[in-house]
Amino acid sequence: MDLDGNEILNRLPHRPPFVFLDAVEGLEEGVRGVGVKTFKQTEFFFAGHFPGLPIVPAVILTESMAQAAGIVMGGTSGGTKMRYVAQIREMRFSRPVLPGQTVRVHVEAAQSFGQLRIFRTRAEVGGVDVAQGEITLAEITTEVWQTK
Amino acid sequence: MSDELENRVREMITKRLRLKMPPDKLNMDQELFGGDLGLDSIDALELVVGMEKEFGVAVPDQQTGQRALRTPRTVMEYIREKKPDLK
Repeated sequence: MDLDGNEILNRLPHRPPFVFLDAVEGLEEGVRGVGVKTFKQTEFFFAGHFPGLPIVPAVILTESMAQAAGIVMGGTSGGTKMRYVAQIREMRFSRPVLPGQTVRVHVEAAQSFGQLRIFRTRAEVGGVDVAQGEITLAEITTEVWQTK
Repeated sequence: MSDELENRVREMITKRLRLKMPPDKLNMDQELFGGDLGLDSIDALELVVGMEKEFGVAVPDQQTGQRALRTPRTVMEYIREKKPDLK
């Protein structure tokens, strides 16, 4: 299954300027999927990261991977049922991502326990790896969140 | 008395949970969660991953986890229950 931008917004609680997926390809809910994001020259963060030498911040790239993982996790996040990043392990950034480049984020679901699920993620540009690591997402209700 | 499986379980737990103690100092009867170790649900997931990767034993659900992940000894007993031939 493939998703366009509108379908992504139906499944994620994020909204611009904090949506870092343009499309999702080959989605098998609960199993795998590929997030696609073209980082335009006009992205808000390039002005400061870095002046005269714009590159995609590692945290933004990681967020893109986490959003793709959220889509692969399945269902809808939002309202009182939210997902958040619980752990990032062994994330490595091997090459910078530059304005205009299209990143493909490959996500595979791994072990789960309770409300937690691990996703193996790998981001590439034109077939060359730029980042990889594991992201653990937790699914909780916001009522629980607000009492902590 | 410790055996080979117990030593492997000690090593797996201290490594996966990054406990600041040598494996042989881990109390096999210490409560893993809600006690002095300060472990949380992420640590439980780490143990589940460790048991699967290092012993080929799955913890299918939370109910099983609550029984199996209570102490280092219950972890060992669960592994032994699932893989009786494992040393």
